[in-house]
This record gives sequence, C-alpha cells and structure tokens, in this order.
Amino acid sequence: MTDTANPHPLVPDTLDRSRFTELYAEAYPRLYLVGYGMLGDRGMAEDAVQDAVALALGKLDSFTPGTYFTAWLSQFVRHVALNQRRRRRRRFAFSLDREETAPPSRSPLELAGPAGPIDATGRIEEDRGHFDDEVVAALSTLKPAARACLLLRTVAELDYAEIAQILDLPRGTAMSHVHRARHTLRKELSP
Amino acid sequence: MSLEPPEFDEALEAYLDGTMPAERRADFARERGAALSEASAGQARIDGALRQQFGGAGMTVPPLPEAAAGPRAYRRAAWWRDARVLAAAGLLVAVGVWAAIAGLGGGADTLAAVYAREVDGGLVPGWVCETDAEFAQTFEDQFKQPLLAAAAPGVELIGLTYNYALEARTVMVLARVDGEPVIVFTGPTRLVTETPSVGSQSLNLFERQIGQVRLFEVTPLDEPRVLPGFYEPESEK
Repeated sequence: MTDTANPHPLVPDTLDRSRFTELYAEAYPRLYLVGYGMLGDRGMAEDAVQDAVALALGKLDSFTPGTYFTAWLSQFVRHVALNQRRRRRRRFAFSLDREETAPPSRSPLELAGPAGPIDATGRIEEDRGHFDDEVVAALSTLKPAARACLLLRTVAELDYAEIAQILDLPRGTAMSHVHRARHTLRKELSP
Repeated sequence: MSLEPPEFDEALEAYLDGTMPAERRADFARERGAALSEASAGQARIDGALRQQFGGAGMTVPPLPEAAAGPRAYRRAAWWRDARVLAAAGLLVAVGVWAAIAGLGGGADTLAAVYAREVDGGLVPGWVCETDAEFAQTFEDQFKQPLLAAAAPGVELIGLTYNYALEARTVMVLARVDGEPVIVFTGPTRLVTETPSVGSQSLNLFERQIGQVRLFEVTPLDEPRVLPGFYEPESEK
C-alpha cells in the first residue's frame, strides 16, 4: 500500500525522520492533550511531549508500519509522564524542609491557560474567563486517565476507538471515563 | 438552578455524549424534559470552555530535537548502588515474544532478536530507578501490580527499558549475571497468553508468573538467576 492510497495520514507505511516530522506536527495537539491529561500542567505536558519525541526518535524501528502513529508516539508520552509524576510525588513526599507532604495547591489562575477571550470590541469576556478558570480547576480534580479521555473526546473530538488506541485502554473504559468525568464537572460547576 | 439529578446517570451521559442510539433520543428527551435541557446547556458550556482552553487552533508545535536524546531525560540514579537491588535481579527478559503473543502484526521480533539488539546496543537502560519503591511503582503503573527483586549472588541489575514493537506494556529489565547479559521481559497476563519461543538455540528461556505479571528470562546460562528473586512486596496501606 502506498501513502497516496492510504486514506489515513497518521497510519504511515514507512517511518523515517522526515516522515516522523510531518506526522509529529499533525499529531502534536493530541499528544499535548495526552500529556496534559496525565500531568495536569501545561508546562509539564509540553516537556513530556518533547522528551517523548526525543525517546521515540531513537526507536523508530519499533514502529510497526501501517499502524496508528499517534498511538505509537502516545506510548512514549504516557511513559515519560508517568515517570514525571513519580518524581513529583517523591519530591514532595521525601522533602525534609517542607511541612506539607503533598504538592501545594494551585489557584485557578495558575491552573488556567490563556487569559479570558476577547470579544469583537476588544473587551475581555470576564464572565467567560472566570468560568474557564473554574473549568480548568475542576479538571484538575479528575484522575489522569479520565482527564486525558475527556480532553481527547471533547477537544480533539476523537471517537472512542481512537481514544482507546491512543491511551491503550479498552473502548468501554474510555467511554466510562468520559461519562463520569463530565458528570463530575457538571456537579462541581453547577451553581 | 440546576435540575440535574445528583447521582450518575449513564443514559443521560450517553445522550449528552451523542452515543445514545438515534431512535431512542427523541423519547429520552421527552421523558427528561427541562432537566435534560439544563444538563445539555451546562455540558455545552463546559465543553466550550475546554475547547477554548485546550483547542489546537493557533497551537505552536515545538521543533523536533536536533538528535535523538535516548534515555538522557531519565535520572541516572543509584538504583544499582543499592546492594540489595544490585545483587538481586539480573532481570533481562527478551521482549520479542510479546509482539507475537499480543498479536501486534507482522514483523514482530523474536526474543533472541530483541536480546541481540539490546546487547549490541550496550544494554543501555531507558530508565533507572533510584529506590526499591520506584522499582515497585514502575510495575504497578504498568501492570497494576508492584514487583521487587531480591539480591542474588553474581546478579547485577542495570535498569529498565521498554520495547513498544512487541507489546504496549512490556517492561524489560536488563542485567548481567556472572558478567553475561540477561534480559527479563515482563508483561500483563491478560495479554501474554502463551509462552514465547526464544528463536535461538544459544539462549534459554525461563518463565514465571507472579499475580498479574508474566516474566520471561532470556539468558545464555543454563538456569534462571534473576527470575527467582522477583517477589510481590507487601502492601503498605
């Protein structure tokens, strides 16, 4: 099967560095969501994806041609993210100089991403920005797998077969994660 | 004011998620009335916020690193400097068989092929655990079950690495036993349903199962030296 006959651009028949570069750019938004889902932090998610890419570039021969590139690269992202989470837990658990043993709580503004949206007249939509902060804060209460499933479903608009491949979960589990995560967020965010 | 019931409602979630069968949706909407409208509106607002915050529009894709960094991102910790761990497990299990077992398609490596590749590469691990707890946690993260390895004479544990060509959750433990390279491949029992073949007459395969994890020691020696040291730690909870 040639690439031109392959209807799915992220299921390459061959993978070298040049092709990797193309596919990586296309897959990056989903990989970032996986990283953020696992870590709950934008900067750490970006770092995790970069570290994963570096790892994957050294293991191109482990990619099976004709399989889903994003799922393959997502394995590295999840692996790196897991290691980062363990290091973060250890740093706080074994600290002798800090009273707290858990990561310090973060304010919604720390957790939130860009500033609130700006409307057509240039004014910041204050209500929308505040609600977005609350949503991001509520997102942080979810477990990593649930958060990742929710983001891939809602933001990337993937079907459950793709989510299952990317996160290496049964399809039913991915769906359950999304449904329960949405219920949790509505409960937390209801007035 | 939210009219949404406090308890989890799978049918409601299926409706909001678009996975409820089309022929059922109209009836469901009639049954639920205003409560469904409230939930739909609330969910739409949350979804909009998530897309606003995490949507890929305008996202800048970082450039690729100049060269593959390999395992440099991982901490070179003193896992093997711990005498207990160092002496313990020369776990090197070839990954190859899992690819065939997990049905990952054509081109799956044999255990011998993966063993040879790792040995030729210098047995460089992708991850080194600093403590027993970290080692155990690695297996718990991957297989929902912690594992440790006790000390054994002549066994030097080098570190861990992963081979994604064979099975999504295959952890390889690299070691030297009396100076010889030995690899222990570990994978979940739910996926690893058969005993793999080594694919080489110069290597031996030994197998063990501990709870939800199957372990295969691929070694040039005539007996397993790393497998016997593995054990499931007692829960600290």
